[in-house]
Amino acid sequence: MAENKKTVPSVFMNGILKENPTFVQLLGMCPTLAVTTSLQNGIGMGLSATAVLICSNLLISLLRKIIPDKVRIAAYIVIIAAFVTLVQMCLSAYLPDLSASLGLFIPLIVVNCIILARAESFASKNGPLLSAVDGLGMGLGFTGALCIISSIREILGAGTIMGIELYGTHVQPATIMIMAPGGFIVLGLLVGIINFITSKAKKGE
Amino acid sequence: MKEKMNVGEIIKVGIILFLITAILAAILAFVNGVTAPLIEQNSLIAEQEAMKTVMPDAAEFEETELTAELTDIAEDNGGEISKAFIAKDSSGADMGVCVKTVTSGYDVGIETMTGVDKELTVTGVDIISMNETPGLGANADKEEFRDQYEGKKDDVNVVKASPGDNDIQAIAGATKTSNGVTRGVNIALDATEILLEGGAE
Amino acid sequence: MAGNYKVSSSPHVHTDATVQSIMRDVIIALIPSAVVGGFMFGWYASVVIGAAIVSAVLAEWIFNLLAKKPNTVGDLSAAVTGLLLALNMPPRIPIWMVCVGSAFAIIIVKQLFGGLGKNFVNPALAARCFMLIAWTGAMTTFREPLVDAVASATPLAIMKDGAQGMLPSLLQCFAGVKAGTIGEVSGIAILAGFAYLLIKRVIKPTIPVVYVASFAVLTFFFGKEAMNVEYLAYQVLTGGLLLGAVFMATDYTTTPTTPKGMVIFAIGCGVLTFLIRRFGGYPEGVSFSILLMNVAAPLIENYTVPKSFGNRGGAVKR
Repeated sequence: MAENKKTVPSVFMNGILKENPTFVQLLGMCPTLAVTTSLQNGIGMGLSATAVLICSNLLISLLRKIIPDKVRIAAYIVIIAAFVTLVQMCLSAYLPDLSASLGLFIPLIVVNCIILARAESFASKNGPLLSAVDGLGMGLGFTGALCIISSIREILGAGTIMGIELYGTHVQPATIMIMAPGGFIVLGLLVGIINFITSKAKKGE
Repeated sequence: MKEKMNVGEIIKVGIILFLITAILAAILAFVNGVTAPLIEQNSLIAEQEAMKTVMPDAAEFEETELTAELTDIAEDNGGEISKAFIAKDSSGADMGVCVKTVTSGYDVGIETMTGVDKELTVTGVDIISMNETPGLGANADKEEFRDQYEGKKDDVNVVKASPGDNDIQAIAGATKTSNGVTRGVNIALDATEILLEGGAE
Repeated sequence: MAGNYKVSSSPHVHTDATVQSIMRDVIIALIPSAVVGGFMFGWYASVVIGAAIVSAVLAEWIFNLLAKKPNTVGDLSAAVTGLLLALNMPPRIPIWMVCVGSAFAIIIVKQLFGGLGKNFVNPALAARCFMLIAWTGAMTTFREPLVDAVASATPLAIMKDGAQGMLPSLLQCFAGVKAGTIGEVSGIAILAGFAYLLIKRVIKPTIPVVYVASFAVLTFFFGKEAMNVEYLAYQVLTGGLLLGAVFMATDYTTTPTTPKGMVIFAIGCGVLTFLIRRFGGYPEGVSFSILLMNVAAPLIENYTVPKSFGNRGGAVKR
């Protein structure tokens, strides 16, 4: 990024559209493919990651002058892991159903590269307000992407949306869409469509 | 790393890292203190709810000790018993048994709660958790499938079509899952026999 | 691809074969299987075949229209894909599923990878596997031949996990009086098509022969009933082995073209089919085997480039 001014709205929109972590940066593919079997899971995963992202970005930005450069990655991971554990404990205490269906993937937010990438490339260089906004934007971009993928997969693969039955008994949903191959197919098609649109837009400029 | 770190710097870095870790650990310990009892309670509630579904008439459930005999029976059937409860009615008399089993279907870890009454008849089956394929094996949680077990007596069989008196119709495309759930139910039936005999003595 | 043309010295072999003529021959070769399937499973099976072809051609036409590409319906490849897919369907599959399958084969597997000649796996097979995982129930419900509305297990399923049902006689298996997908039931019809393709020189016999032979050898020595000729005959004659070996494993785009590569490819298919049928969860493994080997085909080809005469060290590095 050239030295264009970073304002709160521009940083926010950057995460949602221009540098969308899922569709543009292709970061955090593991949770993207694995938990997007239903819209509920997608939202749950997205918002959990957003919470961790905002908190870790904020704290890392606050501590960026204190954290020694040589051990910064270790420090980031400790901070991120702490917030993930926090989210996990809160989820299983207050939203046990969601935590049961997200299962292993909550602890795995620790290794979600979106969070470490934002810590390293943004929070360690910018002030706390902008960092928190960046976390929010990136987190919502991630959540939005998960919602799109998971609603497509849930509608096609389970025949439901948010657990509500959509078709009658005559139409069997295509189970493959909520299994692993379906995740790859939907993600591939969406990335393809987005690249197609952005390349069109660039030509039009 | 090109430049060498001197001892003082190493100590300084270490202390800072230690402080960050210590503070975060303290926060986590505090949150854990708040949430741990809630989490414990949640799993108990889930268990209680499962038992209420499989044996709606019972008033309370009393956990019993798992004897070697019980665990052996489970092993013979290819699964394990994780908990067993004696169900009592409002007057405190024994009504039957609820058994929580863990068996394998297409994947490991189908946790099933089975209620069995004094006549050794299944009163209900509930699946607490499983890792089966969504859309196939995971259909085991649907009532059409679970309700089949009601009223069954010893050794339930799984068939693909036209079930007889003591047969279960397998879920389409998920025979292994159906077998897994059925194993859990059979373990519960055997375990009940032992537990109720013991109670009569 | 400009600038990538290979210039070779004479003699330049010239043939009249075009994509269209090859595809027409494949269709002709498939007609016996389609007819037997239609006879065994009634008019509904014919509707399935028709729906698959029409939806495949339609999908190709619409995609070309939307992508502003030249219309390729005329080369008949979409029709072949639809026909092959239909022959891999159980006889009572709901029509809409067939249409979705055809569209998946043409749009996702073929056109999105660049169209005919650029797809990395066989479209009909990929669509069949997609449908098998998507609608396992509907895709594994088979019917007794000649009578209507009697559910039946395929001979392979009966042999695999003792599903209820009577094994048909070997002669019935060979003629096609058995449960199975529309096009796989009759060995005679498939072999007739095979003979036609050989006479027309559309395919070489290498892959089908080596595929079936390697599968047969493994089954004979290491099968569930080893050294049992009758069991071996059932394993070869039932399921999609013959159909797959003749029509799927010989697809130009997705299989190696070097002679050595063909042998390796075919042996790989045979080994995988044996492993899936013997140890896997499904009674049938032909589709998955060929798909997996499709993916390996470029690698196989890379290692089996023929050496040019007088060049001991292999292909010259440029």
